[in-house]
Amino acid sequence: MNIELLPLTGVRSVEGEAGDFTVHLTQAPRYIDPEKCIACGECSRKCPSKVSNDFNAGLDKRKAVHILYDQTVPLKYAIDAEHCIYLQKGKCGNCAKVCPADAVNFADTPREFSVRVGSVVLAPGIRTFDPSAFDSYAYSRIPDVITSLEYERLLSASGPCQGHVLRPSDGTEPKRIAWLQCVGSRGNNKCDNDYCSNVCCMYALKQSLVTADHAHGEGHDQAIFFMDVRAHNKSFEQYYNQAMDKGVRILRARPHSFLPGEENRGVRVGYVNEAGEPLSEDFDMVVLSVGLEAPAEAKQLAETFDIKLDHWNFALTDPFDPVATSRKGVYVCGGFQEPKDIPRSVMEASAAASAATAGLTKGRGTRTAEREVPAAVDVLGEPPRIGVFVCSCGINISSVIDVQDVADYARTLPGVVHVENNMFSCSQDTQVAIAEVIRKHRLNRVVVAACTPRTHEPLFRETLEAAGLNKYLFAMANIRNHGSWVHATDPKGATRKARDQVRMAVASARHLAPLKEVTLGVTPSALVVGGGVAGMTAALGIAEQGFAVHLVERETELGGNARMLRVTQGRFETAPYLASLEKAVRGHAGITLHAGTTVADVEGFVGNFVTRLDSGTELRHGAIVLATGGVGLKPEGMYRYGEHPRIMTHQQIDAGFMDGSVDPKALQSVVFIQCVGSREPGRPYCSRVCCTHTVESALHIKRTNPDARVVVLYRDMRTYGQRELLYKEAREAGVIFSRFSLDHRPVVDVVNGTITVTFRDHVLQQDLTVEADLLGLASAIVAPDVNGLAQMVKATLSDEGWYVEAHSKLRPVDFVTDGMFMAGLGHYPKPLEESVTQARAAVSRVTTVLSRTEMTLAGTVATINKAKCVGCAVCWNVCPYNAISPDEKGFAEVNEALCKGCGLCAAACRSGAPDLRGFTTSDIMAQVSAMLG
Amino acid sequence: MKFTVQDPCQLVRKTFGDPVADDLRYVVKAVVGEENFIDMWPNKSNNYCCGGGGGYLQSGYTEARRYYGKRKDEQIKDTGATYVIAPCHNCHAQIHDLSEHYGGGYHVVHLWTLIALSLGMLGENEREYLGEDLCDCGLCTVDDE
Repeated sequence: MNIELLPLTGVRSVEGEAGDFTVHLTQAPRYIDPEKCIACGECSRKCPSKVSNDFNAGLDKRKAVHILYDQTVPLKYAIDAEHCIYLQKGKCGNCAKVCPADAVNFADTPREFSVRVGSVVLAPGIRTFDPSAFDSYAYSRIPDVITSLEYERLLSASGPCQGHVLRPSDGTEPKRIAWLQCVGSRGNNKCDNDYCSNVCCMYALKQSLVTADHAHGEGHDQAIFFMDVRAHNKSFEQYYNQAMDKGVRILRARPHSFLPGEENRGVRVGYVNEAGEPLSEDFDMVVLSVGLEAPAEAKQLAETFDIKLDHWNFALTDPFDPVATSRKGVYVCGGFQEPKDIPRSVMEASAAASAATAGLTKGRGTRTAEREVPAAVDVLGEPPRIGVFVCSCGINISSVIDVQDVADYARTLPGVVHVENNMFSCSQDTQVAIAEVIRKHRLNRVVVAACTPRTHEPLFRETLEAAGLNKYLFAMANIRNHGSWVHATDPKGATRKARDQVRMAVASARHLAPLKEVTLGVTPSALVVGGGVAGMTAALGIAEQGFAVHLVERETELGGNARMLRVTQGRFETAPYLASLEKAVRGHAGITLHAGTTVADVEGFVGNFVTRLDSGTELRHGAIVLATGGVGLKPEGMYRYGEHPRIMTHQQIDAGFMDGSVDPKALQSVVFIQCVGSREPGRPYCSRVCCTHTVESALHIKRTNPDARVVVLYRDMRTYGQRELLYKEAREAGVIFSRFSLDHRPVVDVVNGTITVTFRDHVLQQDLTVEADLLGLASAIVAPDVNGLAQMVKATLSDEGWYVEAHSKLRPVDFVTDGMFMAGLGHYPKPLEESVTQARAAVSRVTTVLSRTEMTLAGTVATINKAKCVGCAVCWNVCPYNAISPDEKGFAEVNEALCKGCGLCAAACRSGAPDLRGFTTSDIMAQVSAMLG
Repeated sequence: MKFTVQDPCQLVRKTFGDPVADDLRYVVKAVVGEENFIDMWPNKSNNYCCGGGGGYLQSGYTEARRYYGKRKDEQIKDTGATYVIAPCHNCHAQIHDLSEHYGGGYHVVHLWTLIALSLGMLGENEREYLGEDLCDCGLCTVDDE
């Protein structure tokens, strides 16, 4: 509501400065009045002009009047003037004739206008590398060589073949598919993209795994040809292992030739394996994992906004301020900053939002509007009129479950008056449609059979509100997570289960009653736990937004792990940055520093937390940021750590570099061993930062002392993104990189005070021994023990001890618990610049809580039937939120503000006095009866 | 009669790239006739090494050299050409040996041999690499005199 969408609009010019820009815009004609268009699609069906469909990578056709894709926002058609027969030749006009809303306007013209804004965020995205000019990839010559983006569309339910992949040459199903990594990335030979594109390893693994999951019958094969598998982010390594377990072949080779198969169908791939043997394999299709490039309009955009670009036309940024461009008031996020994946893009978007609003706090709320919810229709006493919406979730549900059967079945259930099936029930257009259906059929209960209420219930509840229905008159049946995903191999059983789930949800819906919500004030301050870079950045950011901050640090000093870091991104010294950050934090009037103490206890809920510190201080705050950090593993028992003073971890080496006790000039032979304690069965994750750290240290030694011999023993070099350039520079400087596998780990020995390292050279296939006067162990980053704190705030921890975010892609800084956010290493190992980004993102998320003056609490709270209560005290003893206490007569009474609706009281009471609104005993019994009956 | 052409590493892949490979084909097609030309696959900058470079022809290790050349030999056989035009003397010697060793039976000729032949100025004593079908081509016969 406070976002004005301006599609088809380009920036002509920009005037002014940070805090007061005037941006001159031109909106191209749409030729369809978006106010009138109802997106019925009739115009597109009758349009005779077919055009190559860019959205499906040109694999199929669209019409000249079109929407980009089914979930387009806003869902309004548009005419592509270049291909419109009427606009080109003055004939046709079919769309105008058939449009029931009279929305077509051929006389539409470009609109020039200006907006005044305080800040600008640039998020033009990226484009994929075009391999057609490079004939070694044979993309232009062999039809069955396609790009990964084309394959993505082939694999998509909304793509040109509805998710059942067919190859271009003859339209048959490809069974043997190969992926080639690093096409247009890490290229030092022909293309100039010498950086790593960051996302291709994971999307290739995803595509191969999805393909393997969909493969039925014999003869299927998925093979990935790679240089290094860069599965470096949270849960990525586990995903990589999962793909290998599923039978995806991971081949370390760079194929030298793609030759056409018989009649130019399929591809013969020539490559040399790790043992040096030339091999040739026939595949039905080859997918080129194309890298990411700066968008075509980058230069134009940079000129218009007067910002600097880097060597590859990405926006130039500083690792210590990753979302700020070279021009004050202009910010950047997403791929235009550097190629990156969805979680990092989302984090960066929130970070840019906080950076862009930091200077505008005085004007907050002056130009915004409030959402107006129509008064809810009183449905009490009406017989249930239930609407059931069965979601296909693209193919996520419909590829396993017969959604039509489930929908048909739902029609037979008592109380159900309307049933429909949606491609994506959660899409914007479907929300509008559902609201209309609610009004039209006077529905007073809604059931959505789709995915998990954990992520999607709030969305559907909003739709109910918009339709004038109390939002608690809603039930979900999770037929995706509990159905199609877990019963993928048993479609019939899954369909049967989905019928049961829908029957239960409908039975539940019949018992739902409208609930009221309580509103409470919000304490406009935040608690930040952890005084490292993430914690300090978050504290400073929140204070800049105009809110009070309590920064709690266990140690007496601020800085955390960054104090032990010499540089970031190879050449940016950490110490001066850290000093200025600490100075800003200590100097900000809005920040109260509580050093040398820890959190003893946290009570309350979003908007109204009360925290007690060990020092005895009690703090009141509306939001929490946990930035508790990570720790470097002391690799006891590995590679003779502890047996020689010069067998050191990165933190120790950096400290040595900084205090002079490790002098690169005095070193003759240095060995680094990677993945010490990471990517092992007991700790199956990648610590992300160690490859780059090793390369930074190796380069530091080589730059100071070019004669020193530096050997790096690694498994996969994961110098992702532009860190690849450091890896390249290290190779050019003469650092020797040698790969080892888990069956041939390096062996370290200490004899008479001398360190020797024996490793298997993968080219010679022979053991080599080198003496080292420094052995660097790239030891894992591990999560500190934060169980106590996590329990206090009810935060979930992963098996490895990292904070679990509400959604790994879409809500990467939120905890599941409202009002709580995370930043830094506590979430997962990450380099300093990403900690800064995540901390800034947390600022943005905290601001969404603190900028409200009041907070609405859920209506799903416990009530006590005092006629049944005997005042036995069981419920107020068992309540974890101290929400129940005895009234003046000794009977239980619920404080609705504190109640979280956990239901423990209802379960504990022996006389059945408590009941949980929205989840009543009668509701549960109805579901049980429905399940059994 | 079909002719194919080798792209020598030193000339094409490592030095001038596709432009010189295109020039090479322009000359070859002019000399043998476009309809008689068949390209190897892969070709131009992506063509394979003959396996005889780097001093291998002189240094011994004959077995290894022929092993490296096997792919070139198969590539030539796949074209079905009876003549391989080699613009590099090193490639020429290696491919000639490959043809004999693996029994491919194709002829290997220098580029200049065919240029001279097509110009009608190839000497009688410069024809040792030509097959029977071409060895007399353009020579004056006794009867003519």
